[in-house]
Amino acid sequence: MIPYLPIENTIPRLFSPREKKLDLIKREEKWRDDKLESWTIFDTVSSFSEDFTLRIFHNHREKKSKETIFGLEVPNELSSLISLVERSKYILDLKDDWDENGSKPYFYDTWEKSARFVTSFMIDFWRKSFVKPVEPNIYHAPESSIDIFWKTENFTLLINIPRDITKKATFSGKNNLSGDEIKGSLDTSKSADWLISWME
Amino acid sequence: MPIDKEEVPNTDFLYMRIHKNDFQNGEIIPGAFRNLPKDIPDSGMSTDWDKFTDWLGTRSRGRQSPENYGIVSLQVGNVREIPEQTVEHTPKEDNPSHTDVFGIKETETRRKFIEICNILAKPSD
Repeated sequence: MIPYLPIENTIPRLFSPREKKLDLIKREEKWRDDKLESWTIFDTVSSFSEDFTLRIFHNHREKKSKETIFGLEVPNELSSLISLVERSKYILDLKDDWDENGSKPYFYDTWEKSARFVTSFMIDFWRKSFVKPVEPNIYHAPESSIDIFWKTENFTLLINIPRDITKKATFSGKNNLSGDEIKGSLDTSKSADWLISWME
Repeated sequence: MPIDKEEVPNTDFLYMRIHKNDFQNGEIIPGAFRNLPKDIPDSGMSTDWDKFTDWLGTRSRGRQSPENYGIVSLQVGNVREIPEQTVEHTPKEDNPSHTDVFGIKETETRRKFIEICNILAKPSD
């Protein structure tokens, strides 16, 4: 096991394209980690190339999260997620006939499914793109369902979580730049990488 | 005396009352666009036709005091471009401007209503 060497202490070396990409990621992480209180080295991989140039790459660091929601660790950069989820609890306070038109109250399970999806999606987005995602809002919706709504200059996206949590969510979105629209159903328990790509 | 129904032109506007619960942080929420009352099948989304009223009149016809409601306007032609939405003048004796927007308000529908609505007044304005 070769010990971790800080970037500035590594000796000059030749990089393959993959190594260059890893190096870029590493430098970006280092820049971000400057503000971190602590970090962990997950693994250090080393090998010697044919010309005996030392190659040391892939230092993956992950800061220790301070908060968790639904058991999911929330990176410091996404700390506003916590207040977003807290704000959305107003939905649980809406009593029977809250709109004076016979609307029913909301189930905790529906709210939890919605808030859990938003939390995992935002964390997933951050880890995969290194970009802080635009936060949605979580609103009450018809038939005791819950809406997750993004509205930005570039796109609008509405995801509806039905009252019956065994049913799939439905979504509808529009890219305001291209005019392209999307709609369909979504299993919120699975990773939505395609949605991350669409929003980027 | 019954009030005759009229065809609503695409160029005209509808005013819709939005309760303060359907505003969050000053923004109207997609769930505001729903059919009421819930216990009547095939009910529509209540609006007022601007041929017979102004938005202040629409605001004053709510069950609660006017400051509890915001008002949005919707151009009829834009409403009819949303899938499965129809606009029908449904006058009442005490409100000749009453107009229903019929059609299921699914996720896509509500997103599109948000895009075409224009907020004229917010609650407590």
